[in-house]
Amino acid sequence: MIFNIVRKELKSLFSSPMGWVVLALLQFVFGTFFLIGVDQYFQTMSGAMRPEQRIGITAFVGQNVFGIASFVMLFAVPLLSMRLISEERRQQTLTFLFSAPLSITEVVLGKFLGLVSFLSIVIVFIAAMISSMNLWTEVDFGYIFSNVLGLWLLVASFSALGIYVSSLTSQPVVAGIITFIALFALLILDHFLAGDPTSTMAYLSLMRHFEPFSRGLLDTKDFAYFILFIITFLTLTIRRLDADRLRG
Amino acid sequence: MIPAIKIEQVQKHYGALQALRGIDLTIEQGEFFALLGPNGAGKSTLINLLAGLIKPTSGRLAVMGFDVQADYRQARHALGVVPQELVFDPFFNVREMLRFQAGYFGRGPENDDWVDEIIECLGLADKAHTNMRRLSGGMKRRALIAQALAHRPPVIVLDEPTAGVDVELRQMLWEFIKRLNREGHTVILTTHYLEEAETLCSRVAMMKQGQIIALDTTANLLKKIPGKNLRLKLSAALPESLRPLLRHEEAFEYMLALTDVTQVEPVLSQIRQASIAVEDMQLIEADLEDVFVDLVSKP
Ligand SMILES: Nc1ncnc2c1ncn2[C@@H]1O[C@H](COP(=O)(O)OP(=O)(O)OP(=O)(O)O)[C@@H](O)[C@H]1O
Ligand SMILES: [Mg+2]
Repeated sequence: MIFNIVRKELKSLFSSPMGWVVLALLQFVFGTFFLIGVDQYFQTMSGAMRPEQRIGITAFVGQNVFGIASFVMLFAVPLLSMRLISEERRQQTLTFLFSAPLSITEVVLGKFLGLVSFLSIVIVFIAAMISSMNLWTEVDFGYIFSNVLGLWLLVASFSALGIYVSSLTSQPVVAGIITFIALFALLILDHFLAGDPTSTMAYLSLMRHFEPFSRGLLDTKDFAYFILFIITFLTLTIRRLDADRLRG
Repeated sequence: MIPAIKIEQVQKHYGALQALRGIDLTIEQGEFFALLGPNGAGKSTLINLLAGLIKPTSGRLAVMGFDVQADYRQARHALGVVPQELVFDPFFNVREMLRFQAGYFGRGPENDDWVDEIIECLGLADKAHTNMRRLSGGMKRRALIAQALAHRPPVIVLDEPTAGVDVELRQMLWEFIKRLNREGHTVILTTHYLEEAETLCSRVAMMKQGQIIALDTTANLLKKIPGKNLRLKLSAALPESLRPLLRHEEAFEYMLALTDVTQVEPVLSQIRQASIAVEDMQLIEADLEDVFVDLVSKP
């Protein structure tokens, strides 16, 4: 029955212009950066450099595309997540979900998975785009895998925060703006605290934990951080909705 | 037999406001039950508690023997609620919405025949593929009724289903609901049209300020109050001696409550003696509305 909520969420994303616009825009941006990346690779690598300075095409183009992806998602996720609960709150359609034989956990998980599935489509496209270079050259699939996993965890974390903020208000636009600000703050936390990279505040920065993935390094600590982040915000959302039910 | 609805000592407070102050109510399976009461009496609050949309401050509620909190899955499977407000999901058409709703209850494609049947019975057939946004108010109401029925619940609760619905649908709707009731569904409704409750429902609960002030069969409630109403339009004020019988007045129009037809004659003779002319007169059978006004206006 969770699957039903996921399906419904996906369906409403695809039946609103927002879903298609975001999807098209993201593909356009990533496609452009991919092409520019490939183009630059050949310019940079043609002759001027000595062989030992060369880096693989996967890392070169990947940096380009995955670098921009994490940044663009910062805008895209709040746009998509803002509606999740606040819109239903405004339209009072949460009653349908709450009077169905579903626990609040299932409702929240369903909505979260719906959004993450939608965003996964984008990520799969990116992965396919970069892997397509395999047609004419050797591609470092390990690098791609690590980046895709990192991006996916990052986007899922964004979504978890987005759904929580969306559960706090009945104004989707307000939810969108707050989510954006919060995500932005979390991303650049370590920029402000550059002097002291060991501080706990810097440790909270999402970017800090995404960065190793983008270099192709898989560390369970970073992995655990993202999972913890997601669980925390989903739990907060569940508790928030439960409190609503108790009060009225 | 397990009662369809069992409510024990339920209280609900909103901050300082006591919306429900200790409700006890048992509704048997197969009943056609009416919940009446003035605005703010707590009818919708009670229904929302049954649906699990809010939690009671104290007390227990069960649907078909399943506690609405402990066994919420079974309880909600057994219950279909038509909400009072017109709420809808703007992205879907009627049929999609019904299928999704049934899906929440774990019903898959095998339920589609039933979905098509309720669409047909509620006169929504030509609107089945229209987006919810583009339906008129009355049609949205029908769609909401369909939505509550989508998973074939044995207990159906309708919170003012006929508000904003035209005469034709109202009849169609009642025919449909009566049929469901005959087929064994328990039906609970709230309405402000008392004649509806009177003709349809076998048992009535009247609520006021969060309490049940009357709970009986419709027939017994009607027996409780004086049998007839005498409406008089007089040329001057009503004689003082007749004031105790007065139920309602407006300019020189008076409504008197009589226990029996034989009282008509003495009343008229007193008016004659006071040399007041009777301009118009009507004898009306007392109905549920009188019971209602009687009970609700009591301090
Ligand atoms: N969410 C809420 N928060 C605070 N008070 C509420 C809330 N919902 C209802 N109330 C109050 O509870 C009381 C009962 O409301 P309820 O909606 O149950 O009345 P009702 O009998 O359904 O009335 P109506 O015939 O107008 O639908 C009212 O005084 C109302 O103001
Ligand atoms: Mg109400």
